[in-house]
Amino acid sequence: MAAWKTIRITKPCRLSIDNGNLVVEDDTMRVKLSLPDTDSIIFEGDRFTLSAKVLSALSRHKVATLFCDEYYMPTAILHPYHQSSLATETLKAQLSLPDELRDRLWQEIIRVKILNQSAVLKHFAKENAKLENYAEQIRPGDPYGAEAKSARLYWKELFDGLKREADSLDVRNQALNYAYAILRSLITRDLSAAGFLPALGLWHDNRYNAFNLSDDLMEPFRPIVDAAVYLLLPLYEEEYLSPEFKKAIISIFDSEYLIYEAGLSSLRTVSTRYIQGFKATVRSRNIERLHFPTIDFGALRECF
Amino acid sequence: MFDLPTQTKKDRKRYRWLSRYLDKQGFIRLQYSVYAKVFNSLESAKYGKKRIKEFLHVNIPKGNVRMILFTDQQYGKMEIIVGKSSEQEKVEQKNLFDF
Repeated sequence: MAAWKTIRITKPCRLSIDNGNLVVEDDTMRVKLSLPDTDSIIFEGDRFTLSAKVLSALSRHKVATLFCDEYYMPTAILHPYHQSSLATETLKAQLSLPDELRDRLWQEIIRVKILNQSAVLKHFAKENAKLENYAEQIRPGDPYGAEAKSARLYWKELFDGLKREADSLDVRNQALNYAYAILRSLITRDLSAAGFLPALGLWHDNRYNAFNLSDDLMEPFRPIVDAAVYLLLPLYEEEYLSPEFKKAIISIFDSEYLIYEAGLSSLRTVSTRYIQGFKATVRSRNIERLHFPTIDFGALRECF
Repeated sequence: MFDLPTQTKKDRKRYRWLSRYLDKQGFIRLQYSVYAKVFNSLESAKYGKKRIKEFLHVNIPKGNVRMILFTDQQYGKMEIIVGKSSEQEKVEQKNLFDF
């Protein structure tokens, strides 16, 4: 059974487990939520209490869990301990990944990312032919840094003169950071559930980053999220990330506007199937098994 | 919907088994002995139905148990004549539970 619900906790409340269900209660209400149906949960604000049992139940049901700080920006994710029945085998395949395949995978991921970026710019009439050139020029392992070059160009074109920063007060940056954090938690959950170690990346190799592999694999999804955030921005003109805006950002992940293996589906669904494809690739050493998402702009526009 | 005998101690135990099992599977109680669950696709609804059937075949030998599948629209058309829907019921159909 596929999970399809998102839970967002902002008010002070108590969380507990009753007969396998998650119970959310305060002085006035008590609601039970079924964990197998829950896809992700976002804890915002810091005045809720929960037991260790809740955390272990969330992890057992592979719920993507995200904790936010006092500024309501995501700070921590709970990533499930390996529970795939073939976890050891997958892990061994990941650890013994040949360098050529690693470089080929990174090349393919970046190529698709740049093509998606180019498609986004084209759709918003900010076309730049250089991007497609970068996508063609890219070599295994990206030794000439086409990714960085295209990123610089792309950010400048899409959001007028935006500088990407982690702690920026610019609402565009905040919206993007919030959306990326959710994306990252989804990918990490799926990686852990499939038996991978998210700390060991293909290209990202920061020794302080526990999610190098997640950061690698989420690259092709970034332009997709960017396009959705770009369309949302004019609808929310506040100077800060309002609760309604955040709700709209969460809905990005449920709307069906991604083309994946010739069908239309939501980011949530694609993320899981994409990681399954990555698993098949790593185990069979055959890059053909990995498929990438593209955007259906018509469907995207209908979502907002 | 179910009617189960509750005369003997063993009967009542079986009754509790079923209601506990339904709770565990994420069903909510609409009224006494009437339980419902929202599925997001026909496929998962069929799978959910199969699981309940298996549990019943193993554990509930007598009584009267029925199941029916509604679409979202049909369920929405249900009229409540006396009383009102519970908070839990309102929460159940939403994609995003916001608290």
